[in-house]
Amino acid sequence: MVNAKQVIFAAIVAAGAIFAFFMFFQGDEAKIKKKFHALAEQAEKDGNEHDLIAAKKAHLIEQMFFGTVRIEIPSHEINRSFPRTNISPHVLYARARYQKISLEFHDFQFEFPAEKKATVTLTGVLDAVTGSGERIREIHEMVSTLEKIDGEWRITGVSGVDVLEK
Amino acid sequence: MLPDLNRKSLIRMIVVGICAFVIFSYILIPFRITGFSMEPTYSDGSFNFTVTPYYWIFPMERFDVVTVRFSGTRVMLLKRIVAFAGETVAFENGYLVINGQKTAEPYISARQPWNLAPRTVKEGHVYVVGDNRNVPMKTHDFGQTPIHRITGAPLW
Repeated sequence: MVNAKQVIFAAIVAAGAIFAFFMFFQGDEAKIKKKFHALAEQAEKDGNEHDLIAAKKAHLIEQMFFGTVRIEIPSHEINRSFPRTNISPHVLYARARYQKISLEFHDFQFEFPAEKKATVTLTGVLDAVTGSGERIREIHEMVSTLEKIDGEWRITGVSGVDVLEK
Repeated sequence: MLPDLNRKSLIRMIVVGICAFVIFSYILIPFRITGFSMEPTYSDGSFNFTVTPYYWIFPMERFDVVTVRFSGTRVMLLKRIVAFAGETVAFENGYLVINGQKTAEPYISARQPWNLAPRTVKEGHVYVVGDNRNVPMKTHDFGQTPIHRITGAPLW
């Protein structure tokens, strides 16, 4: 006979062990997911923000990238490569166009084609309100390449996937 | 006071938990509609389930409403199939034209004058469009998508 209290106690211990495992022994997949969630967090905006805060967020986003970054989004006719140091001004400009920004990443699929290299397919959901009050909701499937530099995963490229082709 | 649990009820709880997980993760995937792309058939904020085995049993038919996946099933599009591989699709003044024939769409309540030159649906693809044509064409997501991206049909 098993007592309900014993079951609850065992469940709490198991949950704690799982939590500790994920906190202290994160695998590469969890680290990459965390990177994208951090990117989404830095991209978020809710109303006016101070220029210094905007600059700090742009800088933090820039730090998540590495080397020459390739961005390809066919639906927006974007296809270019630029050095990581150019990301910050682009982020500042893009974020300044919106009053509100909410960005989420879902459905991660991982591949590790070589040591310290990863390719991640994911879905990005952008919900934003422009300066003129227009609401924008965009969903994109993306393929992102990453490299592990000094123990940290950095993004080296992002390309959009056309799910619907007019 | 908590009830005492015997081995039988524990097993029952575990089985129910596993069944619920499998059913609602892979067979009847719950989703909430965000946006107005399928108005008036499906409203913003309404709730539904994707029945993933639907097309294991039934063939895809024109005007079926389907869910289209991105990199997974957490975020999907809800659209209506209007054409199959090899068929040509066009819009003329807001009217759907399939293989050169203007096609009646009783589920459309209002339309803007969409114009899209004819294009042929590729092999292994279907052409999907939302029911809300009362928006500018450039703001509406539609087009051909590989059949493997169709995850199922809404439950209602």
